[in-house]
Amino acid sequence: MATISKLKELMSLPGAVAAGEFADDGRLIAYYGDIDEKSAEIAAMMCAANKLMGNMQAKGWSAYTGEGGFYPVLGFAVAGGKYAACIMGNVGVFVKLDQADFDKVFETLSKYI
Amino acid sequence: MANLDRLMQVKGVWAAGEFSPDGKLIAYKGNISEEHAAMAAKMCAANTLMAEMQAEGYTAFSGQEWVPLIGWALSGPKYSVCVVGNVGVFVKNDEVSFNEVFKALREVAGK
Repeated sequence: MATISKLKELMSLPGAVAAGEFADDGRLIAYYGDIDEKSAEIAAMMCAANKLMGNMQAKGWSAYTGEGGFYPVLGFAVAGGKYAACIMGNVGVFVKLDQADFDKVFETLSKYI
Repeated sequence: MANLDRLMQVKGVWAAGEFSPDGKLIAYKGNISEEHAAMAAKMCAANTLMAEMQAEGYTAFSGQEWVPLIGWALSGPKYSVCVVGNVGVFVKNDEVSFNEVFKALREVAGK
């Protein structure tokens, strides 16, 4: 489980506005940042659902092509409007797009896989 | 037609493609068969549509501005797929700078 101190570490990344941890079934385990609890809860559900769908696609792709490398899914990201959501394992951070350093974000998140 | 040659020049990129919103393969480059590229185009279009739905829903729910959708990425142990607009690339994780890839994709996709 990511402790609040680890979520605070994610919050120190450039442009970070929120960080959280979710369970595989979509429950919100912990979060930190400028986001209300209901929004954090639905974000946790979306993260878990996307992770599961990503794994389904990656496993199907491996079977379809006969080549590995995409499965198991380690993480994913979505960018829109002013923000990007970056998730690895069961931990994620929301960052402002105009301030984000994605290489640093993924490097930091990879510690939580 | 998107400038896929520009994307193929980015370090770590080993395939690049363009797809229509309904999942048709428009063009591709790289070491991948046409059949596999066509399947990738379908998955990319489906994921983009779902991400658009989630971004619009989350914007309404949270009051934060997550629209319009710009793109998405998915990473496995060796490779990642990165998509902006209707263009995407397959990259080698141990060679790529994601900052560089996303910048090039946004230039090529015009987003």
